[in-house]
Amino acid sequence: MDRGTYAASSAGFANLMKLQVVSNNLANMNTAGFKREFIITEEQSFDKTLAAQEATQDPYAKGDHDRVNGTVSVKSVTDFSPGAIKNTGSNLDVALQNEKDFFVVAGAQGPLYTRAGSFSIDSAGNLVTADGLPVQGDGGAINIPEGGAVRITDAGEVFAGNQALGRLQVARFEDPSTLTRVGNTRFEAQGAAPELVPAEVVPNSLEMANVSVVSNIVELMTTSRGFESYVKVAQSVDELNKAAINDIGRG
Amino acid sequence: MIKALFTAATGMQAQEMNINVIANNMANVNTTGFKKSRAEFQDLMYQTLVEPGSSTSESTSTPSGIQVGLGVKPAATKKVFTQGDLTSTGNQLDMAIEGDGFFQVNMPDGTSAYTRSGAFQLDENGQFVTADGFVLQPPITVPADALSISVGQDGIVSILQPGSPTPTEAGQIQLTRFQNPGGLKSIGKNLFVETQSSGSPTTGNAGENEFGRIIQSFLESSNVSVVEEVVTMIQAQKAYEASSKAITTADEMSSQALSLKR
Repeated sequence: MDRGTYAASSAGFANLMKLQVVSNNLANMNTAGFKREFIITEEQSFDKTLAAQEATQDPYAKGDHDRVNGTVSVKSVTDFSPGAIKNTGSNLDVALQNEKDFFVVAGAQGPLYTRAGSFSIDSAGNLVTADGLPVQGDGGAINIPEGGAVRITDAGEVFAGNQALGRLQVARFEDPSTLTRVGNTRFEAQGAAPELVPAEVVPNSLEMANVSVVSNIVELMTTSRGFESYVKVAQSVDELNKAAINDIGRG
Repeated sequence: MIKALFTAATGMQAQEMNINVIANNMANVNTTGFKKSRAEFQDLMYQTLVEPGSSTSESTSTPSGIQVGLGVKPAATKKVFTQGDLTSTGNQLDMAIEGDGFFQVNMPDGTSAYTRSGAFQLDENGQFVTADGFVLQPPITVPADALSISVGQDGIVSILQPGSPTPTEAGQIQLTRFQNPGGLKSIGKNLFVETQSSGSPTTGNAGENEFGRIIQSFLESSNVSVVEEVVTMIQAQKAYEASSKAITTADEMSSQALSLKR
């Protein structure tokens, strides 16, 4: 097959990935604490492929250098820029001030991190996320005794009436791009444990998704056109092959 | 390819639910003691095609992998128990609660239900009942010849009877509060019932320990803000529209892919 077919189909694949990621962003436009994802594509150049393959001692690397020339590889990157802060008036809603900060929740396999500060109280009186995972305070889970109106201060301290119950634990990731997504608006840390910082929050508010409709719709349009171009290239290559097979040598 | 269709469809379904919740809030804007709900969402799950940090050579690794999200799911409809505005009605049987408590009423099947709506009436036995005839607990009986009924902030019901210059006490209204009112289950008719997540009810005298004060001749309006609901409705509609565009795009792309083979 022609190299052109591979180059075009890798671009087609990149566009499909883009479509999937944009659809996910748009589906989560109203998800509190959601961070948009985007796809970056980079050309897999001849030199780069050669260098990578020689480094891994790939026996096929030599003599077949150009087999992936001109193809496109994709990566997904999360945009951790802050979303709009919406005042909800609900006493258990909190938004984080610093874009590198995350609330710490106790997952089944260790700590998970989230920006979605829409908390509730479970039947045991613990402060939990919307789907029931315990939110961590400076001394483990925050237990709220019966009686007393619950409020959270700017410094993330939880009070029931006048009784201080603990302070929300907040982890700061200097480079949040090392986090992996695990669904349910939560992230998992890779490698070293993050630095714990004093909480700075906006009480009675929620951070909305940082998804912009305009840029995502534009992205949808470019994706659609990009895919269309791939189809045209593939069809042209096919035309050439057809001509080669049928017309050459006909005299 | 087809994955994007389902991803976008979860977005549309989620916004449909958002609109359902908003519509119910708006429909109950003038319902006494109604508490608004809010739909909450979470992203669904991620397909990790390339782990971040996987090695590209002996000394280098990818700074970011490929993680593709599969859409959104409703996480909860959270009830918001903020105080509604108090409206003066002039009716001596109307009561509003200023604070966290609930009135407890007895259901026909003998179980207890809780309400913030204090629009009471008297039944044929002189007992305080809701608009549906459910008796306020503990029952308080007002004699048929009562001239006037007054309810104090502490819930003490005093009655003035003919021939007596001083009012007599007929009983004290008790209020109930929950550890997590957001976990209560709505059963319609302005009533809530306890669930495992609401915690068990604590009952006490009005005016004590955060149970709230009773204010006679006032009713608590719903805590629905029309402006806020309309803004949320616009957001929901835009998100719905955006996901539908993603579906159209996915559809166009699949027909283009099919046109490859002639």
